[in-house]
Amino acid sequence: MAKSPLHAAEGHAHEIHPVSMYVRTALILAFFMVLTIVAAQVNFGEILTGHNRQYGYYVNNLVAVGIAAIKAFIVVMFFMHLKWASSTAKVWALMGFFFLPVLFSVFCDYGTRTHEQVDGWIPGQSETALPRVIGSRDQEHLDPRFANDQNRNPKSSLY
Amino acid sequence: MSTTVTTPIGSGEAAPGPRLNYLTNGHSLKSWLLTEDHKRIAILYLISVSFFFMLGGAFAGMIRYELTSPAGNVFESDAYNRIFTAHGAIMVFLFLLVAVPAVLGNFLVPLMIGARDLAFPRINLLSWYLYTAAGSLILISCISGGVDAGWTFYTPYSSLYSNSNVSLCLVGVFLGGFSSITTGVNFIATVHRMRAPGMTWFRLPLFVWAQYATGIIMMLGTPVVAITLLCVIFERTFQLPIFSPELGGDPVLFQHMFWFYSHPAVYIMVLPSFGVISEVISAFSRKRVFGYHFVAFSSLAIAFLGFLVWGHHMFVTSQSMYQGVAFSLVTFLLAVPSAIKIFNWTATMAKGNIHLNSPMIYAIGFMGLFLIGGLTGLFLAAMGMDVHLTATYFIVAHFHYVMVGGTVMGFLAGLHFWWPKMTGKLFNDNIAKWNAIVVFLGFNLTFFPQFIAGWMGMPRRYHYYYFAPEFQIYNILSTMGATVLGIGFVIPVIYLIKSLFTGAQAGDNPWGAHGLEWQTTSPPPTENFYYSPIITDDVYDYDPVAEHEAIRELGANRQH
Amino acid sequence: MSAHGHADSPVKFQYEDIDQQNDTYVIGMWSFMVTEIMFFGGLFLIYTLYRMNYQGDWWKAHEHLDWRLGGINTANLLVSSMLMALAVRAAQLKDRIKVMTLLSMVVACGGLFMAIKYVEYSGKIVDHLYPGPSFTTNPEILHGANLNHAQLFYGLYFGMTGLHGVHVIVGMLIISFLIKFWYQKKKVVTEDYIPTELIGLYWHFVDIVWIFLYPLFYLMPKPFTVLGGH
Repeated sequence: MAKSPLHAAEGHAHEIHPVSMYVRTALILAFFMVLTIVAAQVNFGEILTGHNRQYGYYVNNLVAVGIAAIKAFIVVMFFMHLKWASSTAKVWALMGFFFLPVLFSVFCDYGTRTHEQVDGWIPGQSETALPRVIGSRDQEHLDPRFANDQNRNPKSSLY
Repeated sequence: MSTTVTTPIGSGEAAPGPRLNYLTNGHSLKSWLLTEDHKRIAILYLISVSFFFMLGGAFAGMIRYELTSPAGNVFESDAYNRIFTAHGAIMVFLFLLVAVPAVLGNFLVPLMIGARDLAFPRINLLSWYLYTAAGSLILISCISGGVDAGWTFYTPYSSLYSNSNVSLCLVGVFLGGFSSITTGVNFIATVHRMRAPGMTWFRLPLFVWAQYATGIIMMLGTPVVAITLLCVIFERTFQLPIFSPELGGDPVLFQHMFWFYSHPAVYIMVLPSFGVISEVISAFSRKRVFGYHFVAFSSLAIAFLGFLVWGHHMFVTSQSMYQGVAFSLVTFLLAVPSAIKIFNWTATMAKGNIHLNSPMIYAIGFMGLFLIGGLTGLFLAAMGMDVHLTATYFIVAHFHYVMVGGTVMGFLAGLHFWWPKMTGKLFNDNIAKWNAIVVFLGFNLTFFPQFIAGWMGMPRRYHYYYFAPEFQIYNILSTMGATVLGIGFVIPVIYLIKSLFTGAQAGDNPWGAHGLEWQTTSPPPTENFYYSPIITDDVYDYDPVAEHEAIRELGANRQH
Repeated sequence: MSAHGHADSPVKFQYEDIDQQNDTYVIGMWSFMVTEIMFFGGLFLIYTLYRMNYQGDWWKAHEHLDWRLGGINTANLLVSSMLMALAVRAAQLKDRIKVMTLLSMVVACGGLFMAIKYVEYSGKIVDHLYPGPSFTTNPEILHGANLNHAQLFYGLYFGMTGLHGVHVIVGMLIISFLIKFWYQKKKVVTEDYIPTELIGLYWHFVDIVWIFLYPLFYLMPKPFTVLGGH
């Protein structure tokens, strides 16, 4: 492969890659794009049976985010040339992906919360929280229409 | 020269002809406002930062004035809310986060590592303009209608209820964050790639290590608060509900994200000061910093651990108890690297040849104040005690000990230490020494009574306390101290400015310190060094024998 | 010390040589990328929490989004990313015409992206799906979703894709300036490919954000509760 005349001594950091490499990368990305659309049409909640059905949603999400992560990795490595970059650049590039989980450790909080029951507040129904206008809290929150909320996440202990 | 850096630079090898330094290289306003010279940008920062410090101080004065009487009859509640918000926002976002990194860091990082400039001079200038824009917006929002959300901008108050000028202020803080990010990126790229030949990582002065660790926090933390505040702006101006509790949003998530940055931000404020103190203690004890590697790595450890403790600001929210315990433990753990620094500075001073010049007195004062601030932090890290002390004056006293006692003392120590380098003039060290003592005493008189009042239960952010007139004595003591402190902050402005006109010429190295920045002229030339430095010896390589001889040769007047 | 004081040299005075400058630029750009990751990371955090809490309503609310339009945009950005990478390659070869052609195509892709976004946004606004007082009061349009939670969904939809759109527009502006510099044969871009590469890094980052936004907003799986489980 040809080397940039300016950096002949620098080695592979400034290598010029063949067009086919970029096209191949794009094709792989396109494949994953199709895969993520196909995977979204498949509902693992319907495929899994019995007790496992409730985990289908999480499988779907993991597949979707996993494919996105693979695509991002390919873009970072080949389009953004991180594969050939200096190790310092590699460390910095990874730093963000390392610190995102630190930020997401917020979920250690939401996953382990315990709450005492508050009068008039039906868990899972935000309507029963304090309304926007202070002082106008009325009996609406006891409305039986909201008594059977199917949106409540069975896994979440937030509400 | 008492130091042994072997570089081609020396006072005897001056370039022929009159030397231009960075101050005399161009006198037009344009040469200052469009400069790409890191030293000039540092001076621009120094001027603007001092202005905002004085402004924030004026707001603090109003707070103290109001609190001398339990009746609270000077300002209305609304006005008082706006005053303490203005004090907090200006001091935090426009002074504490900026002062040491942007003034001293900008000036010294390239000098200390032997570079001609920072890696991205134009972005450095951009950061000053962003800072100025941020300052103007925050200032405009504070005087046109005011902001009453507190500097923490907790939702849903800031997003739904506050009728004050929150959005404008938030835009200002957002721009300030950008300025901070650009500074951080600049420092990191500079330290990685711009070091002079021979300047290995472990020959870097601890000040540079501290700036590097600060840069990491600026890069990783600031964007999170930027997006958080942007969400509040979205909510206020575009009606996009992000944290709205009435629609099912979670305001506690705002606090999580806010403190994810704002706790590490405490280390943005105080880590650079740690760096300054390392330099000053070493220079005035004429000793290598004890446990150099430990101090260097404790900066990185603080930067990293600082990201894992944000929840200790939220013990009284609906945060999970279990995560509260984890945060409490990590917070205790964070005391270790901070203590390493204090121990190592003390060990550096032990059996050192201590010179009590003004920077050293500020540095010793720093150690005392930061120690109290840090230890009371441990009180607050304990969950049970925190529930009792949250939102009292104990908290106020604690973070003023850390932030003012830490950052401001470190900033003043650094400013005095490097003033001869920055301006080429010597200031009156006798006045400065006495002033350092005044600042130390005034500070303690201001904030120590607040510990007691807070312990007794005086709530923060109240402008009256007629329900408990026994707090008045502490508040009056505190206001007296604030007056002394205010005088202590005005006097340096006078004698430092006076030194510009009547001060004696400082040599290259008036303090006899060791370090690359002292090897060039004072003030340095625009390109920092007349010859490219090559570093062959260790950092803080003070030679006690040569030092002793130098002092005997020069006599007592050299140091005093 | 090769390049001190030469005004038209691409090496700035603070660097020893072009290699040091390029290395520093790349590290600086990657550290900026890290800040961008954390910036969008905050939004993804908010998204994840609310999605966990309101799975059913969010799924119903998301049914109003057209995954085909989103898919076209995904493919569009993918192609633009490839073109950008090829433009950087052309810059390495100093093939000026090719660089300008490829960069113009990248800008065109960005324009197409924004045009499709415009169609999508106006569709939502016509249906009163922009959050706030004018938000629709008709749950039918959202397949019976709780309107409060749907407002949260559309708040984040407009917030996140809007912020991404701002990044696309900024990228288009920067690339337009890059084309202008290449057209004017400015030495700062023609002598070395790194300036083009840095702008390419930014553009790829914008692509990466969309790679995550697309499945999260357009391809939500049906949650268990909506499937009829208990």
